[in-house]
Amino acid sequence: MIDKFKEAFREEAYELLTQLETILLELEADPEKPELINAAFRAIHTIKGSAGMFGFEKPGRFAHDLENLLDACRAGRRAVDKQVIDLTLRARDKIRSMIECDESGGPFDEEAQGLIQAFRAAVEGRPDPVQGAGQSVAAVAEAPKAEPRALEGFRIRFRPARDLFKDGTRPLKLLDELRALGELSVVADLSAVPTLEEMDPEACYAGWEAILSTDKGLDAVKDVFIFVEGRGELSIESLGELDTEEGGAKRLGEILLERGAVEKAELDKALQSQRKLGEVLVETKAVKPEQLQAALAEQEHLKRAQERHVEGSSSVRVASEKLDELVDLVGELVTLQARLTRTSGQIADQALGAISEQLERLVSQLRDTAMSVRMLPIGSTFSKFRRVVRDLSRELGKEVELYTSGEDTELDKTVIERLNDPLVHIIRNSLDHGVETPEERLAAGKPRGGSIRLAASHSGATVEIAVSDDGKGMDLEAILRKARERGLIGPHEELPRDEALQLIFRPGFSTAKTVSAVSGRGVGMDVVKREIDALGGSVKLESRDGRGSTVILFIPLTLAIIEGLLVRIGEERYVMPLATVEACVELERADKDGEGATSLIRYRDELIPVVDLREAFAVPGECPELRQVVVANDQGTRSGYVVDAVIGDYQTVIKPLGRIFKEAEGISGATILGDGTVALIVDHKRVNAQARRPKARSA
Amino acid sequence: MAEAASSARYLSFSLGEELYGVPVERVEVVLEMQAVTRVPNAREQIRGVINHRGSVVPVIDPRVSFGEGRATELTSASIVVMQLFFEGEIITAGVLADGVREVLDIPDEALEEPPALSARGRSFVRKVARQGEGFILILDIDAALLSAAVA
Repeated sequence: MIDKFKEAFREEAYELLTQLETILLELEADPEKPELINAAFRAIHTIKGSAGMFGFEKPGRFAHDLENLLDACRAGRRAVDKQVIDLTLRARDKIRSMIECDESGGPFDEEAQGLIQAFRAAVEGRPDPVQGAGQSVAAVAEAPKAEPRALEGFRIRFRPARDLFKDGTRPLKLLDELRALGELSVVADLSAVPTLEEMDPEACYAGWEAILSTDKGLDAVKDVFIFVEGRGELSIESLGELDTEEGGAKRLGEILLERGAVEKAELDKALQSQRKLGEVLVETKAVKPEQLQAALAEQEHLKRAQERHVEGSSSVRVASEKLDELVDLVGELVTLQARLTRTSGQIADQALGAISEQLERLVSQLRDTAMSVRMLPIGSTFSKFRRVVRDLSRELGKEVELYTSGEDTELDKTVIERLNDPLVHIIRNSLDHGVETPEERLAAGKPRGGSIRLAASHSGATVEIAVSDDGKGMDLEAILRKARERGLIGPHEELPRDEALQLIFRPGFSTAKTVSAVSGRGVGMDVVKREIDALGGSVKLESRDGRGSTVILFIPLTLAIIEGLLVRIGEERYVMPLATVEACVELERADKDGEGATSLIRYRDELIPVVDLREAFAVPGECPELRQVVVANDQGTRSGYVVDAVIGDYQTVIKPLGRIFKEAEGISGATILGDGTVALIVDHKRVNAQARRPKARSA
Repeated sequence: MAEAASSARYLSFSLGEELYGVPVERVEVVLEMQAVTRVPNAREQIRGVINHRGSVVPVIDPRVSFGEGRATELTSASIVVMQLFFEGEIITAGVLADGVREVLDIPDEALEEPPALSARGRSFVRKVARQGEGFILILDIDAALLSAAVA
């Protein structure tokens, strides 16, 4: 039981420490932000408190001294400078290692004592010997996230002057601007619109009432209307903070009263009649229908804001095994659904078909929801990389900043975890071999400081993660020389530039033999490629001399379920991942030039290489006269795969085959079909590579 | 008690000419023969995979490990699903069987060292026990897969 509590404490502490790291790195970029200092203080304070509670007395004591320092910063007694951030970062690492190594008590080691001395010295404001050395400040987030301000509601009434249109003002633009600030509900007040014969088509008769919930504050709302000031009636009222704990949804009557649409006496009278308040008030002409509508919109808006607040604050921690189990079960359900669809297709009963179709829709929604639960924004790992860049650039005497974008790109949780090490390798490589020293950069006419950009984005069924630097780029000649030395290519073999670059991903290219997740320097890029391959993704390198290089990772959104194309070869059935399938074309035997597993066909004025899966997989049986080619497109590179027939698309739950099938190249997994039998999933890229290999050798 | 400690229970099944035994505690279930999906390029003694309770399970043909080569037609009647160790992991796999016989109690002293078999066969027959007129070969099922790495 105790262990369970300890585990919970650890988890919480790690989370807080990660937060702290992010805060500190942001603080380094923007030391003037009091919210950040407060947040850092709170994080340490919480760690200190719970450490004491769970018997981690030693890290607690240590955190206490650190807290004093941050408190001094918070109170303005100590400026937040490099020294403070450095110290706090080091202390953060120390606390983590104490918790990790289960050091719950006992004396501090030398490092901890040194840090405590340093905290005390820093509080007293003793000068920092290192300051002014002009070292690099690493890691600036492109958009540092400020502590969110509380959500505030505003009631905005805007009744523009009749001649508003004359000076080119477009009121709808204003509403769009408001919408950009937060959640907006708008009701148009058209009560002033005259009949058609009286209407001046160039006049603005409409007015708007809007309710906005935003965390940007009153000034931001006022700024929207800055150019229409005096061009109509405008009122902006604050409704106060929306996400206060107390108070449920406001009653309609209260809102109408507040808006001044109704007198108290009339309201009370209407309330007594026990009917829907709105109806009564309108009927008795106490309130105009427009006024009622606006009030109802406000009520709705506030209710929604409230609900959102409740949602936001009620996240639940769930063990990841449970999520995996859920996804497994959904996978089973998807399989069973496919079976039902098939069976109902055979029986051809209308009622059954309708049920099956409806169930199919539900199951696919359920699948998407279940998968989305496992999706996390990739940004959570990015902060780790800031630290890597910061520390390593100092160590190497380089000035490098890390810019990140696309933090909210979502990926399967397990994929994110497994991306961490490859990304660290790539970033380290860029820092080490890509970005030059300040002197070299100045000599090359570049700014002193280099930059590394980490960008994530969605692209169909894959996520692209690009790591680019503005360094010197890859030395193509050196790569070719090294590849020849290591026998990866023939002594006189020349390769197109693009292909030659990819040589660095080949096993045996790098000299580094040992691989460690922590040191990782000079690690072979083949390790990166292997990891990404294992995730079902691919890697690409681009480089421009003197301008820098970019490593792009293409990662499938999820590992568990894919859309597949079911094909038949002889008596056997296979599934090809649909994401890369571009087209299916017919193939007559005569269209293939030459025999053997590989050949070329003409596809849309392009000759593309084709692999005969019947031969690659040694499928027994007669080869039919008319067959089909599945054309795959991998980031612009097309290749074809000959099958006997294409059956159709198929939602597929991927079942791993396990290591005893490691010889089965070209097969990435299996799936259970509707009739309960197993079909294999084709890894077409491997099939292609494998089919080409012996041919290349014999040539 | 002493007697119980010195004997073990084995499930016996026939395959081709031979009678095999595997420790009964390793056996999960005996399935009727069903459609086995061939896996191209897989090691020789894996006949393919089946769907067993939603998992994809390999099916092993022990005859290949004996160097008998594999019959092209799958004529066996049953698949014995069992747990085995492969490269340090426990995996579930099926083993082909023509006929599943019975669960036998074989005292340890009745187990003998296997006679001279082919080198490959020897590596995964752990012991033999006399059974009526013939022998029952007690399989070291974990080794049956590993020996394939040599092949």
